[in-house]
Amino acid sequence: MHIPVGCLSLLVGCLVLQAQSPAQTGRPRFVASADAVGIDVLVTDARGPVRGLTSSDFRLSDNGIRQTVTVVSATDLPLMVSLVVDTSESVAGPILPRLTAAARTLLGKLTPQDRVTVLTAADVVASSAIAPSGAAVDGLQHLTAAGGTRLFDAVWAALQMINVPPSSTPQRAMLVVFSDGRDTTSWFDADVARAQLDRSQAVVFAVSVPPLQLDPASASEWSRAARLPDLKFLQSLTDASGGRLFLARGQKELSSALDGALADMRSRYVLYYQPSGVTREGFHTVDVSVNRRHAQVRARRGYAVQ
Amino acid sequence: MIFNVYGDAWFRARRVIYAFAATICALSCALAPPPAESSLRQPDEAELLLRGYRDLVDAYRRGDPAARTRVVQWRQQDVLRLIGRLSTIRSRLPSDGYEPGVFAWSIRLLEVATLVNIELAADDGLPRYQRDFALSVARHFLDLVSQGEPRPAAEPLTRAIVDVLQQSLKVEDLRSYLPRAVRQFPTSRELLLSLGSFHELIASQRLAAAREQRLVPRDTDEALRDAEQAYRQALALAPRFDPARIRLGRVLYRQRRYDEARKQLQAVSVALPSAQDGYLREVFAAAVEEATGQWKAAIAAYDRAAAICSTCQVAQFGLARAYASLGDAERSRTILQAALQASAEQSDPWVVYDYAQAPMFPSLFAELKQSLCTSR
Repeated sequence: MHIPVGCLSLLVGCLVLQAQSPAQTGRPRFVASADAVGIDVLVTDARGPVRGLTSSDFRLSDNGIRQTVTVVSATDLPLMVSLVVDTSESVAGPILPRLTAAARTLLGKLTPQDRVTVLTAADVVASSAIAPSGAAVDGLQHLTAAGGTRLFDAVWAALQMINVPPSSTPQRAMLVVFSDGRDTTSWFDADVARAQLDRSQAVVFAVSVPPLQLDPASASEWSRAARLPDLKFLQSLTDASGGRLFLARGQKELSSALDGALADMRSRYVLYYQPSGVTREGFHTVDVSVNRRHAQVRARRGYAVQ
Repeated sequence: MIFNVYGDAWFRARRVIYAFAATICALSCALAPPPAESSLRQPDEAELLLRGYRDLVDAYRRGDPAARTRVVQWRQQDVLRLIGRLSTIRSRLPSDGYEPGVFAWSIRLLEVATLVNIELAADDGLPRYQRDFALSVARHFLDLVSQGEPRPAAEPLTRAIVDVLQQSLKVEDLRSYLPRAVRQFPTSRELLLSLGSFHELIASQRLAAAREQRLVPRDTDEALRDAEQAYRQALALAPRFDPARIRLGRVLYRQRRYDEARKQLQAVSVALPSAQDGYLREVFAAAVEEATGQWKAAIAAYDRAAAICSTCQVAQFGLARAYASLGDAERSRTILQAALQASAEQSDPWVVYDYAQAPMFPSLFAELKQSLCTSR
């Protein structure tokens, strides 16, 4: 079932859920209310994204308890995009211009309704733009690579900032990380950033380019590099949020990866539901399936409520 | 802003300190009465080489750009030959035919030349291979200085070399150099501090250079225990050596020994000599409180850190997270939004924690100047 966008104002951004009166067991449980959880879902088959699905096509369980969902096509909702661009010494040389060119390409494809935040991650995590998508391009003009990388801190900050207060305009959150994945000087560790993701609606896409010492033309080298521990953090974010990690060897691949990320976001569904029959606090494992043969579902694995 | 001097700006500032201290020192040495070289009857090749090198170094110290080029371009084979000859002189007693004055000034020259080469090794404006060569020469010269009777300048020069190795992220070299240096100067609290921080660096596994040089420890806990041991040794020598106590607190925190960590951090002097030490103490104390779920205590500690450095991001990020954890999302976002307006120059002392002993260096160069130019 599709519902009008205007009716969603109470549903969006409500991952921080209000406790209701405790159940008889003494543990607070979700009951019917305006509280809602939104889960971004991508459904694909061999031909690409599957469109035209309705609520009756989806089956969603929260901590093993089946829930009743309301489906909204993602194309109806503006995007709140946060870009984290690694500007540390490790991306000096040709990598940073490639990353920023790709980021500019991505920003150029957003609509006027979308909003963008750009964070740079080096020794200092800085916000270079919070603006409608066109204005954010300016923030990417003069980036230079130097110092260490506070990647975990930057991802944490981006996820914290992207959780905008509920507004009358429903939005979806997309975090794109441009980095080689190497963190050197963060205050927070990777687990803090990952825990923040659990409290966020954001779908994370990560775009990584080969380290300088690797020959970009060598597929085997790059394949080996892809297994470097540096990429594990990025991989864990994208897996947990239902996003994707792109490994781009050249500019063309980089641009096509970003096109893919945006196409992903535009082809999704958002499944809203009011959790019922589950304990409110803690981590909620979410399982989504669809009644289409050979279809693959990509969605976040769960969310956390404090 | 208190910490503007750290990060890149701080590194540049250190170069200036290096250059200034070494220049003053060399000028003072040059103005000193000439040693007894005039009494030489037949200068041999080593002495001629020494004199030539001394003239070059003196000209370099006076800021002669041509001399600088020549010092930088001093051919490797000449330097190696010089080191060989100096080694010969150093191994002989004055009674072997060398005038005592020649012996004394050759050692003094070695010390000054060590400092000059350390300065070159730390000069970001030079190509990497020249810096590496200068560092290698400095180490050779210092080995010669350190032979025989102890020289007062040997320990601070060793610390200066450790500093350059740390700044150059030569972790493989540090692994062999630091334990040897500690054996040579077992009562040097600063070298023990460097040794402890080296073990911490290895345990953190965050420094790319360490991973690329395959220095990831088999056992992180073991590396942390080594760090703890080094800090405790430094504190046994100097109980009021606050940098070691702050780092000990951090290492205990990383070993999840929170009560011990809290105790050590609380034992640090209230009036610290360095704002950086005070800041690190507070953010480390905040981390201990976070780990034990004491968010209000963490906020109090982060607030104290922010009072020391209002633009340092770690304190602001910590506050933002702590308020978010207490459910005050709006306040968290407000703090974070302000923190994200930081400029690249507002680097936090935390970012160099793994590989720099920032509070040491101004006093280190004062020591070097003192030991090279006024002591015998």
